[in-house]
Amino acid sequence: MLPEPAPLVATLLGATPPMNAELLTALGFYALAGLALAGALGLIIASDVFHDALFLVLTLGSVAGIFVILGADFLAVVQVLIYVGAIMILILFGIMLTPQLGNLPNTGGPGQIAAGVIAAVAVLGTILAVITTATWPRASAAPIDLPAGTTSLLGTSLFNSFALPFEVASVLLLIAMIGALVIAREP
Amino acid sequence: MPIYPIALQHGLILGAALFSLGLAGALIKRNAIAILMAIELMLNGVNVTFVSFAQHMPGAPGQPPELTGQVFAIFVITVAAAEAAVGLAIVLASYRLRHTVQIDASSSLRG
Amino acid sequence: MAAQAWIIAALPLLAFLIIAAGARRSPLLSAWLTILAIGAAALVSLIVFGQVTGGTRVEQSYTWLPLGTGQPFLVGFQVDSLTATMLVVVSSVSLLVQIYSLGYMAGDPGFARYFAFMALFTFSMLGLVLANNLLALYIFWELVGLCSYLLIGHWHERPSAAAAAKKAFIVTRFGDFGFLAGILFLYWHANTLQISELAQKVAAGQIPESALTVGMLLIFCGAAGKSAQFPLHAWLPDAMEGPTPVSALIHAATMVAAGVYLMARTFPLLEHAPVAMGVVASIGGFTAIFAATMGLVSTDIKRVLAYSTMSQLGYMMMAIGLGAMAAGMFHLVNHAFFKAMLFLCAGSVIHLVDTNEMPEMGGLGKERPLTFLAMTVGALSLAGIVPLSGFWSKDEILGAAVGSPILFGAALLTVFLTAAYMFRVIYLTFAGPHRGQVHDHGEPTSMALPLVVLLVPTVASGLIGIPALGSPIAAFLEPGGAPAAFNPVVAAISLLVALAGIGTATVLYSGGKMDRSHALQTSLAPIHTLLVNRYYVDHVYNWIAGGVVLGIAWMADNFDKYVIDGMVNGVGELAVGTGGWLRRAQTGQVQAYAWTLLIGVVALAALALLPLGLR
Repeated sequence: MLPEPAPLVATLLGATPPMNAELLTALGFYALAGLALAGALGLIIASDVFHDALFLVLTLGSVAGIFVILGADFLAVVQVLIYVGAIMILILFGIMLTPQLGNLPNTGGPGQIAAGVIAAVAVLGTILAVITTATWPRASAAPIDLPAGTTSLLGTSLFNSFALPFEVASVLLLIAMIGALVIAREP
Repeated sequence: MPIYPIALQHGLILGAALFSLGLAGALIKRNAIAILMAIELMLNGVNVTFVSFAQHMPGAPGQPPELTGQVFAIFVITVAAAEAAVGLAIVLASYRLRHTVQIDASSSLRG
Repeated sequence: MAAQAWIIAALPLLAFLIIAAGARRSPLLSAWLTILAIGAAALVSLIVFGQVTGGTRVEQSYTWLPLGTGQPFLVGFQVDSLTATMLVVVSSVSLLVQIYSLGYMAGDPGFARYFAFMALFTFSMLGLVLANNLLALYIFWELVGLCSYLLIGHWHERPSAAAAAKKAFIVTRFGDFGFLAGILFLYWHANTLQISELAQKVAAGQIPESALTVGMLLIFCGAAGKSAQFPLHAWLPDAMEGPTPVSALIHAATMVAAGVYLMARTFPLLEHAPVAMGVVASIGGFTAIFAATMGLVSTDIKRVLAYSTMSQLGYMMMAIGLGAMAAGMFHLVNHAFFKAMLFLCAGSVIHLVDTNEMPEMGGLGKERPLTFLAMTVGALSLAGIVPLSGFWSKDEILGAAVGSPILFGAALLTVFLTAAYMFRVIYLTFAGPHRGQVHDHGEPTSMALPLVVLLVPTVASGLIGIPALGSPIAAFLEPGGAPAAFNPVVAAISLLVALAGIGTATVLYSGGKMDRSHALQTSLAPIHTLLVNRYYVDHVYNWIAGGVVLGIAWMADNFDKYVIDGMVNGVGELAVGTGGWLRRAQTGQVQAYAWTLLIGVVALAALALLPLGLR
């Protein structure tokens, strides 16, 4: 069973605990989660690629907020910088550079939609089954006490334990840059 | 800063839902760029999961937590950036060849 | 000399090898090489024979193939009375036939080849006679069969000769299969192939009689094939397609005698298997009368002699089956000489008129008085007229058959038929006027000489078996055996029957006229047709070969074509079809691939989750 977010339930049931920061964060989490999911749903449903991009921005921004609530303030900044700032721009450029002739459908036929939904539901069901059946040793315990800023902690981790993956990631980026250049170059 | 404990499972469920929605989008969409966006969505779902786990992973006794989950998320974002760059390059190259980004037009792998 | 008896066989082999190595370029050299080698072999044979009569016995074996812990396969030779007798017969008849061939085959394009194969054949036959071991004997046995094939097919450009050669080879193969099976069977039971050891074990009762019976019957299959006994006789009449000297040597005097010799050689085994003996005697007696009837109607002079050979071989088999081994061998010796001579006479006649058909001969006695004389003497001997050699041996066989009325009756009837068909030949060939063309190119001395030489044993070889002289050959071949008592009643009856046969022939054919016999033919048309068609045995064989065997082959072919190939092709088509069907899964749509992948992942995850139990 899921541990109950007691104050929220209490609020909804009509109890009147003080509106404190904890309740606000909980409300913030669920609100942002709802926004993120709404954005994702919009991305699927929208019939125009450009609208897709806007819905994606909504989701990415919401996820950035969720990162803050989950104690990952540095990641939230990175999320905004890289996703919203870089990747989305890249995608918008992509959309601009590939003008569509005519009014082609953005989604597949009914069969493809059904297949996609079935696959997604199956995956979701499997993951939910795992989440609900797995034994989480620390699920009922309180989250670990994170310092106010995680930046210094992340920096320490990245340059100690994860120094090699960090370097590899930089090589990967270099390769991706060169590869993108080569592939996209005018022949 | 004491942060209200969002239960681990709630973060995980959000990540799973984002992942599944992204998956549905990747399977349903016909526009290659939309598919790329859906894949970014999936990666974000994974990141939410990582960050949720990071909140519940203490460091060694007497040591500050290593935040392994967040570090992984950083790497995922890195890879996502690389993927977006290469993926868009491929889309552009394909577009130049076929004058469309409709993914079902690219079926030269048909057996 | 007896200890080096292998030289006898080695000499013709040497001649064959020299001819094959290069002497074949000179036909005359080849011929003389063969004649010299066989002459030397005949000389050595005579010396050995002399030593053996003096009591010498030799047996030498060499290990050929060691067999782990078991008894090794041996090869070797032996010289005893039986071997010595056969050595003399084979080498001397062969020598005379070679000399005769010098004239008969003159100008033939395959002259050198002919003599090479003749030498090889003589080597094989002498080796067969010398072998002391069933396996070695079998090897020579097959060599004899091979040479027979090569020589019958000497004029291989004639389709009928090629077919006859094949027929001889294939039909005898049937018998040889039984022979080989018999050898293996005996080895399995006795663990030896040495004939002397086998004989000892049989005498000591170490081999069960049932096993011995089966083994000997199988071996008799081989003998029946070589000696043209019913039902494996069909090849011999056709084998007359070969040159006449080949018929004289192979199909009268020696090769067909190999079967009889084999039964005589294994007689110490055979005599302990009464059932097998009964079979041998019955088949021999049946073949004797069966072949003789066919000889009555054939118009081909060589075929009449071939049927006569079959009939006489049946006689010998019958004698051996009745336990009178010495009588059978005695008849074999006599028969070898006079039948060789009869064939050479026939060759002389054919040489004169260029046809085998007797209705186109007639009146040849004027051109060939020597042949006429020799042939008449030979026919009288074959018919069993006293005092020629055939009388004495035939009489001994008849004497042995007295105990079993059916066989005795068959033998007597055969005597009658033999006399009749032989004098039919004499009348049709030599009496009366010419009915066909005569091309007298003169008779070479090389052809006349062997006739004269062969006249001597034809008249006199009976001496070695005359009961009044103590029947020396019986004492020689079966020391200790009771010599057959001379039975004057039997002798008188057989003589009368033979004279009746001659009389019948005289009535029908005297003066070379054929009208009376034609009248008889029309009145007995069904029987005549039956005989001319050789009792339809060949038809049955052809039906079996053409219908049954080809039918089975057809079925096997179709089985191969449709079932075996079908399976092989089916596997391929299955792969192609499955591939074509699965190909549709490869849509080229990346999303379809991804979907399939995901379903797989979900299925695997579900599989992994199920055991945990979804709480």
